[in-house]
Amino acid sequence: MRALLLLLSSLAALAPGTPAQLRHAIADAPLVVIARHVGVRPLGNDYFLHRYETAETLKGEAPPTFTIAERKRIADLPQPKPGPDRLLCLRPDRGAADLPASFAPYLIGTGHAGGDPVVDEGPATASFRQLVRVLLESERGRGSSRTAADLVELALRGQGPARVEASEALRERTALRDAISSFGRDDLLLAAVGESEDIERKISLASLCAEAGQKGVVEAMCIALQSVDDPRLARAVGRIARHAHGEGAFAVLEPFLRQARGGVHDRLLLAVGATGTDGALAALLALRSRDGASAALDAALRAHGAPRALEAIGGQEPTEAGGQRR
Amino acid sequence: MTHPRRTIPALLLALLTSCGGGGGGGGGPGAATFVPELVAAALDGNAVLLLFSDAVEASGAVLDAEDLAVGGGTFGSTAVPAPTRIDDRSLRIELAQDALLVAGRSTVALTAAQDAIRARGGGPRAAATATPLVLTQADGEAAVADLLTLNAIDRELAGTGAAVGLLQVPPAGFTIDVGWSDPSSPVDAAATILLADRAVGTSGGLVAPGANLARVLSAPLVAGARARFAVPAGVAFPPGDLTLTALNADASGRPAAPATFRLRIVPNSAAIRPTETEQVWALTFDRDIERFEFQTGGGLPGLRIDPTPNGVPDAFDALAAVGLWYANPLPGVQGGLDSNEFVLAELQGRIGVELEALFEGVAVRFTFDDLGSFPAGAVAVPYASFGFSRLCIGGAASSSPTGTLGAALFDPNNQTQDDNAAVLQAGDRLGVFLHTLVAFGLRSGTASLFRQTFDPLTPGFGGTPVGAVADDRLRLTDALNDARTAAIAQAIRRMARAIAVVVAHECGHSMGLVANGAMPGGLFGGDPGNFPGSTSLHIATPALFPTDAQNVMSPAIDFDRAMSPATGFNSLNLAYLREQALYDLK
Repeated sequence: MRALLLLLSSLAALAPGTPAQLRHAIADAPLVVIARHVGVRPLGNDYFLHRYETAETLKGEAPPTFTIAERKRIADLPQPKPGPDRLLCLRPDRGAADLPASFAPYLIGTGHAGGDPVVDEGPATASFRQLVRVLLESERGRGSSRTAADLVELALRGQGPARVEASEALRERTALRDAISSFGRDDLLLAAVGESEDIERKISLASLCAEAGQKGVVEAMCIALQSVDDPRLARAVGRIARHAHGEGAFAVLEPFLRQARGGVHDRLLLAVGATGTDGALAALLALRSRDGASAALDAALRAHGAPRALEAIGGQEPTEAGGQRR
Repeated sequence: MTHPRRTIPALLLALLTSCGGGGGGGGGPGAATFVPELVAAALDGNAVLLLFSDAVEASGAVLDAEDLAVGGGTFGSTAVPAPTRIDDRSLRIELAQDALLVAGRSTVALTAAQDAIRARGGGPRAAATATPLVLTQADGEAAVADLLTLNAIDRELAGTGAAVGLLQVPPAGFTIDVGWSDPSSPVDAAATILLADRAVGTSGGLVAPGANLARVLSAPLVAGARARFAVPAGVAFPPGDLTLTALNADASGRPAAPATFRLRIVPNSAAIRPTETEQVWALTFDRDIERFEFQTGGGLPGLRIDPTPNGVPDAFDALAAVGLWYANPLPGVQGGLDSNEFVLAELQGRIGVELEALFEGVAVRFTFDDLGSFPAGAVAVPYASFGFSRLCIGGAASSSPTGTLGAALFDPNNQTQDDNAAVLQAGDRLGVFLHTLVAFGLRSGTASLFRQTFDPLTPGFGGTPVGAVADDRLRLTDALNDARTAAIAQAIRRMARAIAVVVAHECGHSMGLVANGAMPGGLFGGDPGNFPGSTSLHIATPALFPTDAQNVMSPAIDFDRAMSPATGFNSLNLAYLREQALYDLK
């Protein structure tokens, strides 16, 4: 009986700054449906068979009913989630070949975080349905400019996780990113500057703007660091600066660093470190030599990550300013 | 960079130091007596506060000059009323109108003849005070305990948060953490008095309820107003439920508000202990069932899965996509290793270092040495019947792309050795899936940490893989230090950290994490109501970590947060792995 307690668990990958990966689930799944959970029954000691009815097919050819086999002994991923209707991104379950044919076909999710959102009447659902529509039309050959425009609109005015998904979808596809209009880039930068609650969104939008070639992103985000106390944003500013200015990143950050005081100075130091550039390393080492060690300087050197940077702080890995476990 | 070790050194259980203090319970085995001592006295308006070393009570006898000797002042002409109880170890004496006592000058001492104050529960009379105590002036505010927990477990996970539960620990080997705050006076955390409502065993006999347990615990580690008391091996709390009470006083002599903590003690049998003497994990890279090809179909970079083995472990195929493996490596980089073998050795060494940090204080050892195969046909065998568990760092989770970074057998209480290097009969793959890790990273924007780390080496993005240029031999052996040397070192370091975090997650599952349900039945896994975002066998606790770090046993891991040194197991999961907290046998 001991073996019955063994369950297969799994771990989803999460791209940085993205709370959900629905766009990847849509890209990777041959079948995308909105489905209703209509029942579950055990099968021997090893399985629960979850029966679903297809309410709407968005991609592929969906059967009217299908089964997701939840392994009790070897529970696979993703776990079926009984309850309200969900959008499901599915693929054939090759591990179900020996299960009863009467419950076929057997399908399984792609395992992407956020790949099975609840479908309801709320605005978040409307946004992710819009995201799905735009991505699927793009898969079917719709032009980059129109797809990019729709995604920009969603990134700016969507609701819920679909906003960041849209922004990330633009970041991930060169053709879409290049197709963003100059007005679109301006609007995205304004949204990045104005976002004050959702740091992941702020970072995603700012990164998108930089990757799309928008000017002034680093400067705008340096100003944002004056009011946003979050190491994620500080590191992102460093990476954006490196993307936009390469080895010249420190030169762009340096005037802001020189004027800043207190916590803002510490955050800008972290941004300098996160550029990972030689110029930044030289500047940080010089500061440490002149002013001595500090938590903020060490955090910046750790963020830099080069062997010389780590050697300077004694090769130490753990704990930094803002890196101490709460 | 120097040649790394291949075998990760053993991680040993932190040994608790020997019992500090001494004294305490008094008597031999079975004895349950203790003799309270007066340790402080303070003036509080028209009253005197007496603080004792242990729980006390007024016997009912009149308190007079035969009981309490006063120096540099007087209790006055009228009889002193019987003391009243403030808390378990503090009494209050109201003074007569003509009493004259001066803080800083007057002294008090219990006499040898006193019969008014005794140990709680009708125990012996409080001891005579060897040196009279100078009265202090109690200030207006009492200290409060802002921390009382075990094993530094966060309030939300210790049975004291919204998720409720009852923290369960073994009879010994755990710590008691207390912290005090007081806006008006300092508090000596080391002076905390800890009382249990049940007798606690020691090699010298039982410590009765009401006796100060701090005497038999290890000398506390103190940081500011916080102290950590360790329960050493020679002390055994009794099985079942009990309540700990923490008492203290501030520097002015005012008693702090007592704090209590409910816990359950469970005998730590081999079945319920997750690691026992040591859990050994054999890590392998040897799965070869596919190969991967970089593609940018539809403008979205990715790794196409070709279901054809190519004689190269799938993990290395994934590493090749980011330039950490090269088809034509440089031979003889060092000690007969070619550039691929050297990078692999570096990677393994770093993974070991990272795992050592993640599992600090846990009786677990990870090795890349070949310890042999698993018993034929088995994926799980009784723990004591086999010497190790396995985990494969492999390629893809499935023959088609998925978002799954890893999969492992969930083994409650770690009762079996588990083979997470297996591909199960039905086709389900176990292990860590570098295809997912790399494919996700390749898809991310160019300003992402992943891309900025690996692009210089990623052939699909115009980078040059390690070993593709002759000077890499010099770079790998530290004979040439340039920007590419740093890029290579950084790429290895960050890939190792990401792999280690996922390995820790999967091995965590196979060592019993994160059992669903509240303590003592589980470790709060699968409770999205109290821990939003949690799924079965996982717990999301973002509030317990910095924003740029995360709990290793979260349902999803992101590359950036994996890099944070603050990313780790949550406090309850770590206590479980250290066998300082145990959930019920499943």
